[in-house]
Amino acid sequence: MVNLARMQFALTAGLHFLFVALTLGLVTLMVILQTRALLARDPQRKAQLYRMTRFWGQLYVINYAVGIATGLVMEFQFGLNWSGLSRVTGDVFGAPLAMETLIAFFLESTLLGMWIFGWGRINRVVHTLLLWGVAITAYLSAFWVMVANSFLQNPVGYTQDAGGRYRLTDFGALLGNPNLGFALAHTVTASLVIGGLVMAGISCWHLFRRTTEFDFFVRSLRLGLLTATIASTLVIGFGFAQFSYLDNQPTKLQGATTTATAQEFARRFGGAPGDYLPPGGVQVSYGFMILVGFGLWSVLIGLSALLAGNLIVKARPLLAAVIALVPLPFLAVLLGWIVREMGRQPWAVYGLLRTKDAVSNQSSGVLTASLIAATALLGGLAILDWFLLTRAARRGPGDEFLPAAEVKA
Amino acid sequence: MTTLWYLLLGLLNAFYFALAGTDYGVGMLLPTVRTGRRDALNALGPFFLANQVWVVAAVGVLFGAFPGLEGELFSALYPLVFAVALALAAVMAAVLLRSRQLGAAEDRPVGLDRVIVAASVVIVMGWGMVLGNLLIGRPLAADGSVAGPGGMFGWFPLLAGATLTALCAYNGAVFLAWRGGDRAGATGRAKELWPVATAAVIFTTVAGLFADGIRDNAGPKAPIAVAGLIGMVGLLAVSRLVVYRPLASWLLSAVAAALPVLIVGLLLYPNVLVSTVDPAASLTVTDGVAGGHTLRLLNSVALPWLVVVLLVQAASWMIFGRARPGPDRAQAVRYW
Repeated sequence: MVNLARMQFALTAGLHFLFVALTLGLVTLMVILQTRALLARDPQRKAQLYRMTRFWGQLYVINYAVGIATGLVMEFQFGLNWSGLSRVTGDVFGAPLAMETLIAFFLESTLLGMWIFGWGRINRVVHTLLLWGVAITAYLSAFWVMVANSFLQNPVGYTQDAGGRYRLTDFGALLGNPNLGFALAHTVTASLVIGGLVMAGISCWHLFRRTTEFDFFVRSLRLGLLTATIASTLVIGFGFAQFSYLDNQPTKLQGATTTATAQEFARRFGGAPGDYLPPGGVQVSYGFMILVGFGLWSVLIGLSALLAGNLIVKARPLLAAVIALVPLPFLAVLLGWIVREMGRQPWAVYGLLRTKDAVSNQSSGVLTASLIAATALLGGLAILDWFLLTRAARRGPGDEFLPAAEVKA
Repeated sequence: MTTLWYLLLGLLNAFYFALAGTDYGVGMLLPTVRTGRRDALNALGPFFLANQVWVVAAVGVLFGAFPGLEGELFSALYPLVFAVALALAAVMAAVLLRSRQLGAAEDRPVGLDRVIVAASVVIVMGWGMVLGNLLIGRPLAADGSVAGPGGMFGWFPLLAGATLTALCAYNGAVFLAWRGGDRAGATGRAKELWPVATAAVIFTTVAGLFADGIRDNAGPKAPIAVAGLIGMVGLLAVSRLVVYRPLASWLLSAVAAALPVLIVGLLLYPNVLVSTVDPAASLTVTDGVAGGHTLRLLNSVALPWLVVVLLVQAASWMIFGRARPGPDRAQAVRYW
């Protein structure tokens, strides 16, 4: 039963993570584009930057659909499938999640709607500020979700009351959780690699096909590739910085105290020490992620150097190489997610609540049916979204938000 | 503080049913709009996303301020809440994506329209059935388990679901009469739906007052139900009278759509989910509330922020509420 609930959550959270990473990366690049458009003096350059904002903006909004859908299902899943989590630790874990919905996501969606329908209707400065608002609230969302996740990884700031429930006592400790800062920075910079490389890859596809929109896609390629290169350097730095608190979860990766900790868990919670080690795939994923990360980083540095004098645009094999790189950051992000989340197993809240004790009291029939329904809907949605995304990307810039006749500056 | 957060939860739910109820009403009426479906969806325009996220905020407050309720409540109503959650995901994605298959000037039915229609019905029907089940109570045992889905699909929950569906459909029609492309057609639709919605509200409330299980749970508070009934019927009646002033008509019907959740909450208070097998196992507001530290935190951070969100949403209605997108306003963004 716990496996059915876990599969459903892994599917939802995995999809959410992949699509939201692209959302977060793209919105950052859009803020750069629209702010530059707002500030540009030269009317031609200004118009071009606005067109770029609209084109990448449409891809962003298409991608947003899966993020919002999976995020919503996940919010309900906590109560539906993991009622143990809300019953036992909800007082601590629920606080940052409530903050995420009220402070960040609620406003983000409101502002995004206004931004989409504000083209040509709202004052340009305000319209640009709306996008800033969307981006800031998206980052706030990531922050609060990581606060909640860090509690699962390394529970802090709580006491256990007489009824066995965990109560929040120190919110500052949640925010100061050593498992939060570098992990958040690692995730955000990974999102920038994804956003940057997707932008660069799509631009290269158009340049490879000898597009008439040469200037449009060369500008996009430069922005995307440079962002991805700088961000990938930071990702690696923030990744290694996380070694500093690996001791908080001795069983995650094989280390000096792994066996002793597993034995300690077995003594306190029953079972064999082997029950308290994560699946073997974690260690493999970890090694593979580092390999992909370093490989990507070194190639990106080389490609960025070739931006000088537009060398990269003149060499068609290089354009093809950039396109081929696009799946890699997605793969690395997925592997990193496996290390963090699967590496936490068998715990839902590390050292406090086992995953099998957090699952709701539902029959396996109900859980099987819900798993099938969720897989069909969310999987189908992801495929449809990917199809529409690639089609819009291939189509190139056009009339994204305004009827063609109205597309001005 | 517990009461404050329970009131706030009620408020978020009320806004959700008033505003998103309009989204679903428009969604349900899409099949009646053969040409100009984009006009209908773009009448919702920037409000669609803003309306939808009230439910995200409500569930967030449920999880943050009442962690003991969220798990029990959702588990006890599993199939219904799960269906609603999937349908919410489906309707949001379908509205965001449906017009991406079309050029800016094109307006024809697409496959995803069916998803919008079906998901809108499932959501409203599902929430109505959740409210119906809350009134009846569930066989909740002391250990938090619920014996089977029996009764969840009984006649009263189905009736409650159908009633909320009728209310939202009327709400969607008067909204389209205000902002849609074919306003005359929408006004006609609203006139057709009004008697259905009014009759459903009256019939369900009266049936509920005389149903055994509900009388036990809410018996002493029957006056609340009667007052609620008079309120809803009154609002609907005035809304119908001023149907040629569509903005006023819609505002009135939106308030009517928000009332059922508030009435159910008041009738059951301080219970949230009554156990039909063991009175001691019933869930009350105080059973599920978060600790003082968590609530103080939500008070100092989330509460002021909620005011900010309200102001932004109000600004959005001020900016986009005036100009009516439609054939006469070609320059308006047509994104949905």
